[in-house]
Amino acid sequence: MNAEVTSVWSNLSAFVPLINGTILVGLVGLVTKYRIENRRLSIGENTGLRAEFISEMAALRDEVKGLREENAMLRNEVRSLHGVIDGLRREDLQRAGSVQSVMAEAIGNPLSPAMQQAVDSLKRVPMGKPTE
Amino acid sequence: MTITALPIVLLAILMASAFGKCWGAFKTSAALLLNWAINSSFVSATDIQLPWYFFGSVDYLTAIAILGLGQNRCNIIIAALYAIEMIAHSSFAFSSGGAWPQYRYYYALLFIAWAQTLVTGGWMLYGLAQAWMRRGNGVRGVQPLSESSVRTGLPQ
Repeated sequence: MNAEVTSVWSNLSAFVPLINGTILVGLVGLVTKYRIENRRLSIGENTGLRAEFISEMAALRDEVKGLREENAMLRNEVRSLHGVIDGLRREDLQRAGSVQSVMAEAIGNPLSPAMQQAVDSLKRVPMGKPTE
Repeated sequence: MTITALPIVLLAILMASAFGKCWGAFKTSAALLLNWAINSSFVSATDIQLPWYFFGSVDYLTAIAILGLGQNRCNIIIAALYAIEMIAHSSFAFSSGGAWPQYRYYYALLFIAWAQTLVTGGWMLYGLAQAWMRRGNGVRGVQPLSESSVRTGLPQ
């Protein structure tokens, strides 16, 4: 009887490593499953982040394009304003030049006869000795 | 590829992984070395050459401990190898215990132990390679910029 019990017990105890092995396989499977799930989630998260990044980059590119266009328009406006300023300066200079030429003409002309006579009479007045 | 070379290789892996700061491989190789030490001590103390029940229990606990240390790829492979080893323990337990089962059991344990050592060694080598690749990315040799160098843009 004792030998039979020992035999049964030894047979049963031989199952213990198998049970332990099954538990280990379950644990390994569970950990692997969680690892795969984790990787899938991280890949999904990365995909979402990548898509968000791409759309953000496209929006930034559009914004940069708009800013460049605005910059070009402002440059054109500044160029036209410079033209206007140059024109005004030129007009001013021309006006000043014409005034100078009129004055020079006026100064260079001989005096009128009446004016010449007045100047001559002034020359005849004795000057230098004080009158008594 | 004998059982006596195994602890030496494991010790080398332990030291190299500590040198390369690959702490995962360090912990796993320490657990494997501890497993070997406990099993060898039991064999030496009791003079039973193949105590499958003791080997099975210690291996099971070591596998659980290794899985608890970190759930990375290498630890999973090592735990799976321990699960395969459990089949060897059980098979030997079911056998009549003659010379031929002892021979197969011994070599099954030996090959699985070497496979685990190779996995840990590969992990350690990967850690060392990573440490070697990281070596130039630090700030070693770079002087902090002084105020004047920030102003001039030139290192002083």
